[in-house]
Amino acid sequence: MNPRYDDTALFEALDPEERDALRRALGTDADAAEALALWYALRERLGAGLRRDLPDFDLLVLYALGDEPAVLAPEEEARLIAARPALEAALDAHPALRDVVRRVRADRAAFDDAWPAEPEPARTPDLASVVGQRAVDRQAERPSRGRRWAWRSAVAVAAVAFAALSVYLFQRDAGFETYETAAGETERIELADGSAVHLAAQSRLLVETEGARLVRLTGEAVFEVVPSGERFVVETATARTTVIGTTFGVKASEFETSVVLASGAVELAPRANPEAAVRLEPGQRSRVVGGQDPEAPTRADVTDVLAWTGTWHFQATPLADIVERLAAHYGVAIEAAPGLAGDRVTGPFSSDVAVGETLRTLALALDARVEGDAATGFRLVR
Amino acid sequence: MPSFDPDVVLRAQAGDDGARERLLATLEPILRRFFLSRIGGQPDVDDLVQNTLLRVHTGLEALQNPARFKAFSMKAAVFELQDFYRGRYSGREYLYDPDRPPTDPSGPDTAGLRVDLERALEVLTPKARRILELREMGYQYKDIAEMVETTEAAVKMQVKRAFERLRGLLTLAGLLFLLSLGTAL
Repeated sequence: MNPRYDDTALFEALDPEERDALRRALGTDADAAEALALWYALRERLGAGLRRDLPDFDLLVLYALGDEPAVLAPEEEARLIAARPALEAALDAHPALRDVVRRVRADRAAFDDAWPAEPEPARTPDLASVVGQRAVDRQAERPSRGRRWAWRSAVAVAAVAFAALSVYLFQRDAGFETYETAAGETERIELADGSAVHLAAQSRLLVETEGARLVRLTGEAVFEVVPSGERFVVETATARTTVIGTTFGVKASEFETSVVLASGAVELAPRANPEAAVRLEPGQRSRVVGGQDPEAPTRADVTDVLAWTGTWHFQATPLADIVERLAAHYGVAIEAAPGLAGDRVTGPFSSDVAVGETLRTLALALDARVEGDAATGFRLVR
Repeated sequence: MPSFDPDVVLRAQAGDDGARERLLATLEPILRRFFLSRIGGQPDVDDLVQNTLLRVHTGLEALQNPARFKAFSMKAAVFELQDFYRGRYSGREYLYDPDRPPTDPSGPDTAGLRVDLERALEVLTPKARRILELREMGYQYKDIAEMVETTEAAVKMQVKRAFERLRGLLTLAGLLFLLSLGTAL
Protein backbone atom coordinates (compact mmCIF):
# COMPACT_ATOMS: atom_id res chain seq x y z
CA MET A 1 0.00 0.00 0.00
CA ASN A 2 1.35 3.37 -0.90
CA PRO A 3 2.10 5.09 2.39
CA ARG A 4 0.87 8.40 0.98
CA TYR A 5 -2.65 6.98 1.15
CA ASP A 6 -2.47 5.66 4.67
CA ASP A 7 -4.16 8.72 6.05
CA THR A 8 -6.71 9.23 3.32
CA ALA A 9 -9.49 8.27 5.69
CA LEU A 10 -8.20 10.79 8.20
CA PHE A 11 -7.85 13.70 5.85
CA GLU A 12 -8.54 16.27 8.56
CA ALA A 13 -5.53 15.04 10.53
CA LEU A 14 -3.09 15.99 7.78
CA ASP A 15 -1.27 19.26 7.61
CA PRO A 16 -1.91 21.49 4.58
CA GLU A 17 1.13 20.26 2.63
CA GLU A 18 0.17 16.65 3.17
CA ARG A 19 -3.36 17.39 2.08
CA ASP A 20 -2.16 19.02 -1.13
CA ALA A 21 0.16 16.12 -1.83
CA LEU A 22 -2.66 13.68 -1.27
CA ARG A 23 -4.99 15.58 -3.57
CA ARG A 24 -2.37 15.56 -6.33
CA ALA A 25 -1.69 11.88 -5.87
CA LEU A 26 -5.33 10.99 -5.98
CA GLY A 27 -5.62 12.80 -9.26
CA THR A 28 -3.13 10.43 -10.92
CA ASP A 29 -3.78 7.13 -9.16
CA ALA A 30 -6.95 5.49 -10.40
CA ASP A 31 -6.85 2.69 -7.83
CA ALA A 32 -6.51 5.08 -4.93
CA ALA A 33 -9.25 7.27 -6.33
CA GLU A 34 -11.53 4.26 -6.61
CA ALA A 35 -10.82 3.29 -3.01
CA LEU A 36 -11.58 6.81 -1.96
CA ALA A 37 -14.83 6.86 -3.92
CA LEU A 38 -15.88 3.64 -2.24
CA TRP A 39 -14.92 5.05 1.14
CA TYR A 40 -17.03 8.15 0.64
CA ALA A 41 -19.91 6.18 -0.75
CA LEU A 42 -19.77 4.02 2.33
CA ARG A 43 -19.82 7.02 4.61
CA GLU A 44 -22.61 8.59 2.63
CA ARG A 45 -24.58 5.40 3.14
CA LEU A 46 -23.96 5.49 6.87
CA GLY A 47 -24.97 9.14 7.05
CA ALA A 48 -28.10 8.56 5.01
CA GLY A 49 -29.09 5.73 7.31
CA LEU A 50 -28.70 7.96 10.32
CA ARG A 51 -30.70 10.78 8.77
CA ARG A 52 -33.41 8.35 7.76
CA ASP A 53 -33.73 6.88 11.23
CA LEU A 54 -33.12 10.12 13.11
CA PRO A 55 -34.32 13.04 10.99
CA ASP A 56 -34.28 15.47 13.92
CA PHE A 57 -31.11 15.41 16.01
CA ASP A 58 -32.64 17.74 18.59
CA LEU A 59 -35.04 14.99 19.57
CA LEU A 60 -32.14 12.79 20.57
CA VAL A 61 -30.87 15.52 22.88
CA LEU A 62 -34.32 15.94 24.38
CA TYR A 63 -34.50 12.17 24.83
CA ALA A 64 -31.20 12.22 26.69
CA LEU A 65 -32.26 15.10 28.91
CA GLY A 66 -35.79 13.86 29.49
CA ASP A 67 -34.82 11.06 31.86
CA GLU A 68 -34.84 13.56 34.70
CA PRO A 69 -38.06 15.16 35.88
CA ALA A 70 -38.89 18.80 35.34
CA VAL A 71 -36.29 19.34 32.64
CA LEU A 72 -38.42 19.35 29.51
CA ALA A 73 -41.11 21.90 28.78
CA PRO A 74 -44.60 20.49 28.13
CA GLU A 75 -44.23 21.10 24.42
CA GLU A 76 -40.92 19.24 24.38
CA GLU A 77 -42.42 16.36 26.34
CA ALA A 78 -45.25 16.15 23.84
CA ARG A 79 -42.79 16.04 20.95
CA LEU A 80 -40.79 13.36 22.66
CA ILE A 81 -43.81 11.19 23.41
CA ALA A 82 -44.84 11.33 19.77
CA ALA A 83 -41.35 10.52 18.54
CA ARG A 84 -40.33 7.98 21.16
CA PRO A 85 -41.12 4.75 19.24
CA ALA A 86 -39.12 5.84 16.19
CA LEU A 87 -36.40 7.21 18.40
CA GLU A 88 -35.96 3.99 20.32
CA ALA A 89 -35.89 2.03 17.08
CA ALA A 90 -33.12 4.33 15.88
CA LEU A 91 -31.20 3.81 19.11
CA ASP A 92 -31.41 0.07 18.65
CA ALA A 93 -30.27 0.28 15.04
CA HIS A 94 -27.38 2.67 15.68
CA PRO A 95 -25.36 2.10 18.86
CA ALA A 96 -23.54 5.35 18.15
CA LEU A 97 -26.71 7.20 19.13
CA ARG A 98 -26.44 5.77 22.62
CA ASP A 99 -22.93 7.22 22.77
CA VAL A 100 -24.46 10.60 22.01
CA VAL A 101 -27.07 10.14 24.72
CA ARG A 102 -24.35 9.38 27.26
CA ARG A 103 -22.40 12.41 26.08
CA VAL A 104 -25.39 14.71 26.49
CA ARG A 105 -26.01 13.40 29.99
CA ALA A 106 -22.36 13.91 30.86
CA ASP A 107 -22.70 17.49 29.65
CA ARG A 108 -25.75 17.93 31.82
CA ALA A 109 -23.87 16.61 34.83
CA ALA A 110 -21.05 19.05 34.12
CA PHE A 111 -23.58 21.86 33.98
CA ASP A 112 -24.89 20.82 37.38
CA ASP A 113 -21.34 20.95 38.68
CA ALA A 114 -20.83 24.42 37.26
CA TRP A 115 -24.06 25.69 38.78
CA PRO A 116 -23.31 27.03 42.23
CA ALA A 117 -25.59 26.64 45.17
CA GLU A 118 -25.50 30.39 45.50
CA PRO A 119 -24.93 32.04 42.10
CA GLU A 120 -22.22 34.62 41.99
CA PRO A 121 -23.21 38.26 41.92
CA ALA A 122 -23.46 39.93 38.56
CA ARG A 123 -20.10 41.31 37.50
CA THR A 124 -20.47 42.07 33.82
CA PRO A 125 -22.02 45.50 33.70
CA ASP A 126 -21.48 45.94 29.99
CA LEU A 127 -23.35 42.77 29.15
CA ALA A 128 -26.41 44.86 28.53
CA SER A 129 -24.82 46.08 25.35
CA VAL A 130 -24.68 42.50 24.16
CA VAL A 131 -27.93 40.97 25.24
CA GLY A 132 -29.80 43.61 27.13
CA GLN A 133 -32.37 44.41 24.51
CA ARG A 134 -35.92 43.37 24.87
CA ALA A 135 -36.54 40.21 22.93
CA VAL A 136 -38.27 40.61 19.65
CA ASP A 137 -38.31 36.93 19.07
CA ARG A 138 -40.04 34.57 21.47
CA GLN A 139 -37.88 31.58 20.89
CA ALA A 140 -37.87 28.55 23.10
CA GLU A 141 -34.61 27.45 24.60
CA ARG A 142 -34.12 24.78 21.97
CA PRO A 143 -31.21 26.11 20.01
CA SER A 144 -30.63 26.54 16.37
CA ARG A 145 -28.26 24.50 14.29
CA GLY A 146 -25.78 27.21 13.46
CA ARG A 147 -24.53 30.56 14.55
CA ARG A 148 -26.09 32.33 11.62
CA TRP A 149 -29.39 30.79 12.65
CA ALA A 150 -29.52 32.39 16.02
CA TRP A 151 -33.17 33.22 15.46
CA ARG A 152 -34.23 29.98 13.94
CA SER A 153 -34.78 27.76 16.92
CA ALA A 154 -38.21 26.58 17.88
CA VAL A 155 -40.51 29.39 18.81
CA ALA A 156 -42.60 28.78 21.86
CA VAL A 157 -45.40 31.02 20.87
CA ALA A 158 -47.41 30.56 17.76
CA ALA A 159 -48.61 33.49 15.76
CA VAL A 160 -51.53 32.72 13.54
CA ALA A 161 -52.67 35.22 10.99
CA PHE A 162 -56.05 35.01 9.39
CA ALA A 163 -57.32 37.13 6.55
CA ALA A 164 -60.91 36.68 5.46
CA LEU A 165 -61.98 37.04 1.87
CA SER A 166 -65.61 37.04 2.88
CA VAL A 167 -67.62 36.77 6.03
CA TYR A 168 -68.73 33.39 7.13
CA LEU A 169 -70.55 33.07 10.37
CA PHE A 170 -70.19 30.01 12.48
CA GLN A 171 -73.02 28.99 14.63
CA ARG A 172 -72.75 30.50 18.07
CA ASP A 173 -71.75 27.64 20.24
CA ALA A 174 -72.86 27.76 23.85
CA GLY A 175 -69.38 26.72 24.95
CA PHE A 176 -67.71 29.63 23.21
CA GLU A 177 -67.18 33.27 23.98
CA THR A 178 -67.51 35.67 21.06
CA TYR A 179 -65.31 38.65 20.19
CA GLU A 180 -66.03 40.96 17.27
CA THR A 181 -64.40 44.03 15.77
CA ALA A 182 -65.95 46.77 13.67
CA ALA A 183 -64.45 48.49 10.64
CA GLY A 184 -61.27 50.34 11.55
CA GLU A 185 -61.09 48.68 14.95
CA THR A 186 -58.63 46.12 16.28
CA GLU A 187 -58.59 44.33 19.60
CA ARG A 188 -56.08 42.38 21.62
CA ILE A 189 -57.60 39.47 23.53
CA GLU A 190 -55.89 37.60 26.33
CA LEU A 191 -56.96 33.96 26.50
CA ALA A 192 -57.31 31.99 29.69
CA ASP A 193 -54.24 29.85 29.03
CA GLY A 194 -52.02 32.89 28.57
CA SER A 195 -52.24 32.94 24.78
CA ALA A 196 -53.13 36.19 23.08
CA VAL A 197 -55.03 37.12 19.94
CA HIS A 198 -54.67 40.31 17.94
CA LEU A 199 -57.99 40.54 16.12
CA ALA A 200 -58.04 42.61 12.96
CA ALA A 201 -60.90 44.84 11.81
CA GLN A 202 -64.24 43.31 10.83
CA SER A 203 -63.37 39.96 12.31
CA ARG A 204 -65.08 37.55 14.64
CA LEU A 205 -63.50 35.10 17.03
CA LEU A 206 -65.13 32.40 19.12
CA VAL A 207 -63.02 31.07 21.94
CA GLU A 208 -63.72 27.86 23.76
CA THR A 209 -64.87 28.84 27.22
CA GLU A 210 -63.04 26.05 28.97
CA GLY A 211 -59.49 25.34 28.03
CA ALA A 212 -59.20 28.06 25.39
CA ARG A 213 -57.32 25.66 23.10
CA LEU A 214 -60.00 25.65 20.40
CA VAL A 215 -60.98 28.79 18.54
CA ARG A 216 -63.12 29.53 15.53
CA LEU A 217 -62.39 32.50 13.39
CA THR A 218 -63.83 34.51 10.59
CA GLY A 219 -61.68 37.39 9.48
CA GLU A 220 -58.13 38.18 10.30
CA ALA A 221 -56.03 37.73 13.42
CA VAL A 222 -52.65 36.99 14.89
CA PHE A 223 -52.39 34.39 17.60
CA GLU A 224 -49.59 34.14 20.12
CA VAL A 225 -50.11 30.67 21.46
CA VAL A 226 -48.54 29.59 24.70
CA PRO A 227 -47.26 26.06 24.21
CA SER A 228 -48.60 23.30 26.37
CA GLY A 229 -49.08 19.57 26.21
CA GLU A 230 -52.43 20.19 24.53
CA ARG A 231 -52.64 21.22 20.92
CA PHE A 232 -54.08 24.56 19.92
CA VAL A 233 -56.67 24.21 17.16
CA VAL A 234 -57.93 26.93 14.87
CA GLU A 235 -61.09 26.14 12.94
CA THR A 236 -62.22 28.07 9.90
CA ALA A 237 -65.18 27.46 7.65
CA THR A 238 -63.39 24.87 5.60
CA ALA A 239 -60.39 23.73 7.54
CA ARG A 240 -58.89 22.79 10.84
CA THR A 241 -55.36 23.96 11.59
CA THR A 242 -53.51 22.35 14.44
CA VAL A 243 -50.65 24.19 16.09
CA ILE A 244 -47.88 21.74 16.69
CA GLY A 245 -45.64 24.60 17.63
CA THR A 246 -44.41 27.99 16.61
CA THR A 247 -45.51 30.44 13.94
CA PHE A 248 -47.90 30.23 11.06
CA GLY A 249 -50.52 32.20 9.21
CA VAL A 250 -53.86 31.36 7.72
CA LYS A 251 -56.04 33.01 5.13
CA ALA A 252 -59.63 31.89 5.30
CA SER A 253 -62.87 32.41 3.43
CA GLU A 254 -66.13 30.56 3.21
CA PHE A 255 -64.80 28.28 0.52
CA GLU A 256 -61.08 28.26 1.00
CA THR A 257 -58.46 28.24 3.73
CA SER A 258 -54.79 28.68 2.99
CA VAL A 259 -52.01 28.34 5.53
CA VAL A 260 -48.53 29.81 5.46
CA LEU A 261 -46.01 28.59 7.98
CA ALA A 262 -43.30 30.88 9.31
CA SER A 263 -41.60 28.46 11.67
CA GLY A 264 -42.24 25.28 13.57
CA ALA A 265 -44.91 22.93 12.30
CA VAL A 266 -48.63 22.85 11.68
CA GLU A 267 -51.06 20.36 10.27
CA LEU A 268 -53.83 21.43 7.92
CA ALA A 269 -56.83 19.22 7.23
CA PRO A 270 -60.33 19.59 5.79
CA ARG A 271 -62.80 19.87 8.62
CA ALA A 272 -64.71 16.93 7.24
CA ASN A 273 -61.67 14.70 6.88
CA PRO A 274 -59.00 15.12 9.56
CA GLU A 275 -57.20 12.05 8.24
CA ALA A 276 -56.22 13.97 5.12
CA ALA A 277 -53.96 16.35 7.04
CA VAL A 278 -50.76 17.66 5.50
CA ARG A 279 -47.87 18.84 7.60
CA LEU A 280 -46.13 22.06 6.59
CA GLU A 281 -42.49 22.96 6.89
CA PRO A 282 -41.40 26.54 7.55
CA GLY A 283 -41.77 28.75 4.49
CA GLN A 284 -44.44 26.53 2.93
CA ARG A 285 -48.03 27.18 1.98
CA SER A 286 -50.97 24.84 1.44
CA ARG A 287 -54.70 25.31 1.12
CA VAL A 288 -58.01 23.56 1.44
CA VAL A 289 -60.56 24.39 -1.23
CA GLY A 290 -64.12 23.32 -0.52
CA GLY A 291 -64.06 19.89 1.03
CA GLN A 292 -61.08 18.70 -0.94
CA ASP A 293 -57.87 17.36 0.52
CA PRO A 294 -55.13 19.94 1.15
CA GLU A 295 -52.90 20.81 -1.77
CA ALA A 296 -49.31 19.68 -1.69
CA PRO A 297 -47.21 22.28 0.17
CA THR A 298 -45.37 24.86 -1.94
CA ARG A 299 -42.95 27.66 -1.11
CA ALA A 300 -44.31 31.05 0.05
CA ASP A 301 -42.94 34.48 0.92
CA VAL A 302 -43.78 34.46 4.61
CA THR A 303 -42.45 37.95 5.23
CA ASP A 304 -44.77 39.52 2.68
CA VAL A 305 -47.80 37.43 3.60
CA LEU A 306 -47.64 38.32 7.29
CA ALA A 307 -46.35 41.89 6.93
CA TRP A 308 -49.81 43.29 7.72
CA THR A 309 -49.40 42.15 11.31
CA GLY A 310 -46.71 44.74 11.96
CA THR A 311 -44.17 41.97 12.30
CA TRP A 312 -41.73 40.80 9.69
CA HIS A 313 -41.45 37.04 9.85
CA PHE A 314 -38.12 36.48 8.19
CA GLN A 315 -37.55 32.96 7.02
CA ALA A 316 -33.93 32.26 6.08
CA THR A 317 -34.01 35.72 4.54
CA PRO A 318 -30.69 37.11 3.26
CA LEU A 319 -29.55 40.12 5.24
CA ALA A 320 -29.32 42.12 2.02
CA ASP A 321 -33.07 41.70 1.53
CA ILE A 322 -33.80 42.57 5.14
CA VAL A 323 -31.68 45.71 4.95
CA GLU A 324 -33.53 46.80 1.82
CA ARG A 325 -36.86 46.29 3.56
CA LEU A 326 -35.76 48.14 6.69
CA ALA A 327 -34.35 51.06 4.71
CA ALA A 328 -37.64 51.48 2.85
CA HIS A 329 -39.68 51.17 6.03
CA TYR A 330 -37.65 53.55 8.19
CA GLY A 331 -36.62 55.92 5.41
CA VAL A 332 -32.94 55.82 6.29
CA ALA A 333 -29.88 54.56 4.48
CA ILE A 334 -28.81 51.11 5.68
CA GLU A 335 -26.21 48.85 4.18
CA ALA A 336 -24.64 45.53 5.06
CA ALA A 337 -20.96 44.82 4.61
CA PRO A 338 -20.34 42.44 1.70
CA GLY A 339 -19.33 39.64 4.03
CA LEU A 340 -22.62 39.89 5.84
CA ALA A 341 -25.07 40.50 3.04
CA GLY A 342 -25.58 36.83 2.30
CA ASP A 343 -26.09 35.75 5.90
CA ARG A 344 -29.60 34.53 6.53
CA VAL A 345 -31.90 35.39 9.37
CA THR A 346 -35.04 33.72 10.58
CA GLY A 347 -37.46 35.08 13.14
CA PRO A 348 -40.09 37.72 13.78
CA PHE A 349 -39.07 41.36 13.98
CA SER A 350 -41.53 44.04 14.98
CA SER A 351 -41.80 46.94 12.56
CA ASP A 352 -42.87 49.23 15.41
CA VAL A 353 -39.53 49.44 17.21
CA ALA A 354 -36.82 51.99 16.48
CA VAL A 355 -34.50 51.29 13.59
CA GLY A 356 -31.49 51.31 15.88
CA GLU A 357 -32.93 48.61 18.10
CA THR A 358 -33.84 46.41 15.15
CA LEU A 359 -30.35 46.77 13.72
CA ARG A 360 -28.71 46.01 17.05
CA THR A 361 -30.78 42.87 17.36
CA LEU A 362 -29.79 41.80 13.88
CA ALA A 363 -26.18 42.53 14.69
CA LEU A 364 -26.44 40.46 17.85
CA ALA A 365 -27.75 37.51 15.89
CA LEU A 366 -25.04 37.82 13.26
CA ASP A 367 -22.05 38.52 15.47
CA ALA A 368 -21.86 41.91 13.82
CA ARG A 369 -21.99 45.52 14.96
CA VAL A 370 -23.82 48.65 13.89
CA GLU A 371 -21.98 51.73 12.69
CA GLY A 372 -23.34 55.17 11.84
CA ASP A 373 -26.66 56.75 12.67
CA ALA A 374 -29.89 57.89 11.06
CA ALA A 375 -28.28 61.11 9.77
CA THR A 376 -25.29 59.52 8.07
CA GLY A 377 -26.78 56.12 7.40
CA PHE A 378 -26.35 52.82 9.20
CA ARG A 379 -23.91 50.09 8.29
CA LEU A 380 -23.78 46.52 9.60
CA VAL A 381 -20.22 45.26 9.75
CA ARG A 382 -18.40 42.36 11.32
CA MET B 1 -29.47 35.04 46.35
CA PRO B 2 -32.11 36.95 44.42
CA SER B 3 -30.71 36.80 40.88
CA PHE B 4 -32.32 33.45 40.04
CA ASP B 5 -35.33 34.08 42.19
CA PRO B 6 -38.40 33.23 40.09
CA ASP B 7 -39.65 36.73 40.74
CA VAL B 8 -36.56 38.14 39.05
CA VAL B 9 -37.09 35.81 36.12
CA LEU B 10 -40.71 36.89 35.96
CA ARG B 11 -39.74 40.55 35.96
CA ALA B 12 -37.23 39.89 33.20
CA GLN B 13 -39.91 38.12 31.20
CA ALA B 14 -42.24 41.04 31.75
CA GLY B 15 -39.80 43.44 30.16
CA ASP B 16 -37.80 44.68 33.14
CA ASP B 17 -34.48 45.29 31.39
CA GLY B 18 -32.61 45.66 34.64
CA ALA B 19 -33.79 42.26 35.86
CA ARG B 20 -32.92 40.72 32.52
CA GLU B 21 -29.43 42.17 32.57
CA ARG B 22 -28.78 40.97 36.11
CA LEU B 23 -30.07 37.54 35.24
CA LEU B 24 -27.84 37.17 32.20
CA ALA B 25 -24.83 38.72 33.89
CA THR B 26 -25.16 36.23 36.74
CA LEU B 27 -25.50 33.37 34.32
CA GLU B 28 -22.44 34.34 32.29
CA PRO B 29 -19.70 33.09 34.68
CA ILE B 30 -21.61 29.86 35.24
CA LEU B 31 -21.74 29.22 31.51
CA ARG B 32 -18.07 30.07 31.14
CA ARG B 33 -17.19 27.62 33.90
CA PHE B 34 -19.32 24.94 32.26
CA PHE B 35 -17.85 25.33 28.79
CA LEU B 36 -14.32 25.52 30.13
CA SER B 37 -14.91 22.25 31.94
CA ARG B 38 -16.08 20.60 28.71
CA ILE B 39 -13.72 21.91 26.04
CA GLY B 40 -10.87 23.51 27.96
CA GLY B 41 -9.50 26.96 27.32
CA GLN B 42 -10.30 27.17 23.64
CA PRO B 43 -11.10 30.51 22.02
CA ASP B 44 -14.53 29.15 21.15
CA VAL B 45 -15.56 29.37 24.81
CA ASP B 46 -16.37 33.05 24.32
CA ASP B 47 -18.62 32.27 21.38
CA LEU B 48 -20.28 29.41 23.22
CA VAL B 49 -21.03 31.63 26.19
CA GLN B 50 -22.34 34.47 24.08
CA ASN B 51 -24.48 32.29 21.86
CA THR B 52 -25.96 30.55 24.88
CA LEU B 53 -26.76 33.89 26.47
CA LEU B 54 -28.41 34.87 23.22
CA ARG B 55 -30.52 31.73 23.31
CA VAL B 56 -31.55 32.40 26.89
CA HIS B 57 -32.23 36.03 26.11
CA THR B 58 -34.42 35.33 23.12
CA GLY B 59 -36.18 32.35 24.64
CA LEU B 60 -36.82 33.77 28.07
CA GLU B 61 -40.32 34.97 27.38
CA ALA B 62 -41.33 31.45 26.40
CA LEU B 63 -40.21 29.95 29.70
CA GLN B 64 -43.46 28.96 31.32
CA ASN B 65 -42.21 28.13 34.78
CA PRO B 66 -39.67 30.68 36.06
CA ALA B 67 -38.62 28.24 38.77
CA ARG B 68 -37.13 26.10 36.03
CA PHE B 69 -34.64 28.71 34.91
CA LYS B 70 -31.73 26.40 35.64
CA ALA B 71 -33.10 23.61 33.42
CA PHE B 72 -33.94 26.22 30.80
CA SER B 73 -30.36 27.52 30.82
CA MET B 74 -28.89 24.03 30.91
CA LYS B 75 -30.78 23.04 27.77
CA ALA B 76 -29.59 26.13 25.95
CA ALA B 77 -25.99 25.40 26.95
CA VAL B 78 -26.16 21.70 26.10
CA PHE B 79 -27.66 22.31 22.69
CA GLU B 80 -25.03 24.93 21.97
CA LEU B 81 -22.31 22.54 23.04
CA GLN B 82 -23.69 19.85 20.75
CA ASP B 83 -23.45 22.33 17.90
CA PHE B 84 -19.83 22.89 18.83
CA TYR B 85 -19.04 19.18 19.08
CA ARG B 86 -20.61 18.59 15.71
CA GLY B 87 -18.38 21.07 13.96
CA ARG B 88 -20.82 23.91 13.49
CA TYR B 89 -18.35 26.40 14.89
CA SER B 90 -15.57 25.45 12.52
CA GLY B 91 -17.74 25.03 9.46
CA ARG B 92 -16.86 28.39 8.00
CA GLU B 93 -13.17 27.55 7.85
CA TYR B 94 -13.71 24.95 5.16
CA LEU B 95 -15.25 25.01 1.77
CA TYR B 96 -15.91 21.31 2.07
CA ASP B 97 -16.19 18.65 4.70
CA PRO B 98 -12.71 18.57 6.24
CA ASP B 99 -12.83 14.81 6.15
CA ARG B 100 -13.39 14.72 2.44
CA PRO B 101 -10.76 15.82 -0.06
CA PRO B 102 -12.61 17.67 -2.79
CA THR B 103 -11.59 15.39 -5.62
CA ASP B 104 -15.07 15.59 -7.06
CA PRO B 105 -17.34 18.41 -5.98
CA SER B 106 -20.37 16.54 -7.21
CA GLY B 107 -19.69 13.76 -4.75
CA PRO B 108 -18.45 10.23 -5.12
CA ASP B 109 -19.31 8.44 -8.28
CA THR B 110 -20.72 5.17 -7.05
CA ALA B 111 -21.91 4.03 -10.45
CA GLY B 112 -18.52 2.67 -11.45
CA LEU B 113 -17.70 0.97 -8.17
CA ARG B 114 -16.77 -2.67 -8.52
CA VAL B 115 -17.82 -3.47 -4.94
CA ASP B 116 -21.38 -3.48 -3.74
CA LEU B 117 -21.92 -1.00 -0.92
CA GLU B 118 -23.81 -3.49 1.19
CA ARG B 119 -20.87 -5.84 0.92
CA ALA B 120 -18.54 -3.00 1.82
CA LEU B 121 -20.59 -2.26 4.92
CA GLU B 122 -20.11 -5.83 6.01
CA VAL B 123 -16.36 -5.38 6.32
CA LEU B 124 -16.84 -2.74 9.00
CA THR B 125 -16.48 -4.02 12.51
CA PRO B 126 -19.25 -2.91 14.88
CA LYS B 127 -16.80 -0.56 16.54
CA ALA B 128 -15.62 0.94 13.27
CA ARG B 129 -19.20 1.45 12.20
CA ARG B 130 -20.00 3.14 15.51
CA ILE B 131 -17.03 5.46 15.10
CA LEU B 132 -17.87 6.32 11.53
CA GLU B 133 -21.48 7.03 12.42
CA LEU B 134 -20.36 9.42 15.14
CA ARG B 135 -18.08 11.09 12.60
CA GLU B 136 -21.00 11.37 10.21
CA MET B 137 -22.89 13.20 12.94
CA GLY B 138 -20.01 15.67 13.03
CA TYR B 139 -18.14 14.67 16.17
CA GLN B 140 -14.37 15.03 16.06
CA TYR B 141 -12.12 12.05 16.65
CA LYS B 142 -10.93 13.29 20.03
CA ASP B 143 -14.55 13.57 21.19
CA ILE B 144 -15.41 10.21 19.65
CA ALA B 145 -12.53 8.69 21.62
CA GLU B 146 -14.10 9.92 24.84
CA MET B 147 -17.53 8.74 23.77
CA VAL B 148 -16.39 5.20 23.04
CA GLU B 149 -13.97 5.24 25.96
CA THR B 150 -10.71 4.76 24.15
CA THR B 151 -7.84 6.90 22.88
CA GLU B 152 -7.89 9.17 19.86
CA ALA B 153 -5.06 7.11 18.34
CA ALA B 154 -7.09 3.94 18.75
CA VAL B 155 -10.08 5.58 17.09
CA LYS B 156 -7.98 6.68 14.14
CA MET B 157 -6.47 3.23 13.86
CA GLN B 158 -9.96 1.76 13.64
CA VAL B 159 -10.76 4.15 10.83
CA LYS B 160 -7.54 3.37 8.96
CA ARG B 161 -8.11 -0.35 9.27
CA ALA B 162 -11.63 0.04 7.93
CA PHE B 163 -10.26 1.92 4.96
CA GLU B 164 -7.60 -0.73 4.39
CA ARG B 165 -10.26 -3.43 4.42
CA LEU B 166 -12.12 -1.58 1.72
CA ARG B 167 -8.97 -1.40 -0.38
CA GLY B 168 -8.60 -5.11 0.16
CA LEU B 169 -12.10 -5.62 -1.15
CA LEU B 170 -11.22 -3.69 -4.27
CA THR B 171 -8.05 -5.70 -4.80
CA LEU B 172 -10.05 -8.89 -4.46
CA ALA B 173 -12.64 -7.59 -6.90
CA GLY B 174 -9.86 -6.81 -9.37
CA LEU B 175 -8.40 -10.30 -9.06
CA LEU B 176 -11.79 -11.90 -9.56
CA PHE B 177 -12.28 -9.75 -12.63
CA LEU B 178 -8.95 -10.90 -14.09
CA LEU B 179 -9.81 -14.52 -13.29
CA SER B 180 -13.12 -14.17 -15.07
CA LEU B 181 -11.30 -12.81 -18.12
CA GLY B 182 -8.92 -15.77 -18.06
CA THR B 183 -11.82 -18.20 -17.87
CA ALA B 184 -13.51 -16.52 -20.77
CA LEU B 185 -10.39 -16.82 -22.89
